[in-house]
Amino acid sequence: MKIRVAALIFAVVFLVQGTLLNMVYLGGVTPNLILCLVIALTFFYEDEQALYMGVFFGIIADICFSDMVGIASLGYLVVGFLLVKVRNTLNKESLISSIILGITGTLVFNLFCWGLRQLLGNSYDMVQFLKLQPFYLVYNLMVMIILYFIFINRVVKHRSDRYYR
Amino acid sequence: MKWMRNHKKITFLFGVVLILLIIIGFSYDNEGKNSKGANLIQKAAATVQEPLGKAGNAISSSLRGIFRCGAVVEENENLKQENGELRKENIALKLTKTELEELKEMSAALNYSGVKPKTGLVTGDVIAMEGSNWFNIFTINLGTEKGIQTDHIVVNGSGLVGRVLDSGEGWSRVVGIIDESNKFSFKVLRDQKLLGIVQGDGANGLTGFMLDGKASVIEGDLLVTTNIGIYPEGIEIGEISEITYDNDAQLKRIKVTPKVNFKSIQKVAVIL
Repeated sequence: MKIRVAALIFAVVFLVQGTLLNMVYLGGVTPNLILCLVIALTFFYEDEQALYMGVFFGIIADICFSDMVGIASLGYLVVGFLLVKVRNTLNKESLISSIILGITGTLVFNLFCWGLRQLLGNSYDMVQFLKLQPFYLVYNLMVMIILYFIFINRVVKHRSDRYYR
Repeated sequence: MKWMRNHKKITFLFGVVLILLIIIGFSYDNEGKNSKGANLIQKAAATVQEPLGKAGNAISSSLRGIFRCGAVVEENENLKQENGELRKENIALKLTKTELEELKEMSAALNYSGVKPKTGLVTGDVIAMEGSNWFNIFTINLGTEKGIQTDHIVVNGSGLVGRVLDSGEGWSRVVGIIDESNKFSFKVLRDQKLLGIVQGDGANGLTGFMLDGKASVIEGDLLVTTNIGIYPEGIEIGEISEITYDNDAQLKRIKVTPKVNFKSIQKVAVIL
């Protein structure tokens, strides 16, 4: 994916995340679109553009919405890096792969951010943190499924044609 | 050096990690306040977010109006009743105002300089809010040009919203009272000798405890701010929704439902 295209997608998503997305609150949370994009684009494309964009827009999101800058950014980097290591072992065409990565990526990202904040003296209750996870998972999975159907035909040509298998 | 040249990607990633760790350290040291560069980014983001945020608020309000038609009719009836009561109250206050003006004239004649109360209030809109994390920080379209500074108090028509974390030209970041980093004192409106401490639970609510373990609080008690700390006295916080007694700590623990609905917060006012 071209870096300009990736930058444009992430910029639009960042703006939507902080403004229009607040209309779809569920259990006090909204989906993390930047995380979903980092996971989906790093998995589908054989490059690291989404990873770099995730780091960059993670910093901007932290500047705008967090009391500590860099934590979400580092979280996206960790998730993206792990994904680069495992993406060739999973079947891109299968929706199950996207779902597994959506679940794992969300849990790794949230646990990493929560753990780092704990290390820095933040006392957010673990039980409360765990209670929120099902909402994050459901929401992010829905976004991952939508992203799968948007990107799969662009990335894998002639998907339904058995001749190309 | 040769290893670095042979492993450019890993070297680059380590570099990014190192830079991010430095940024986190710097940010931790500054306790949520942005640097000048970050202020410029925040200003640019706020400029773009403002029209989008307003559009989102407008759509949200319209949708709520359509889907909650029955509730709106009921709310209208309640408001009519409340309006009648407020009119009566207004007449009584006008009488008090006349007395106050007379007293002010008298104090001017006697050259008395008393304590000047905080009266400045500026109103604005919430332009951006991130719901995908478990802390409650949002951006409003008021900033240093209106005299807003760190730790100014933010309220809305329902009650206490939070405090200003950081501000720049055209924007301020506000941390809501439901954020777990916000801890403050309260008193019970029914019996103002009953004091306690509450803090956000990170899930649109507040938890806390009474300073006196035998305090006779009941569910539904309205809590207001005290003058201890940064919050001025008498701003509504919320109602007690649950009371439990912690035998180990010998404390009366409470859960509080905030007066402000943080999911649909649109208009706010900052006390200067």
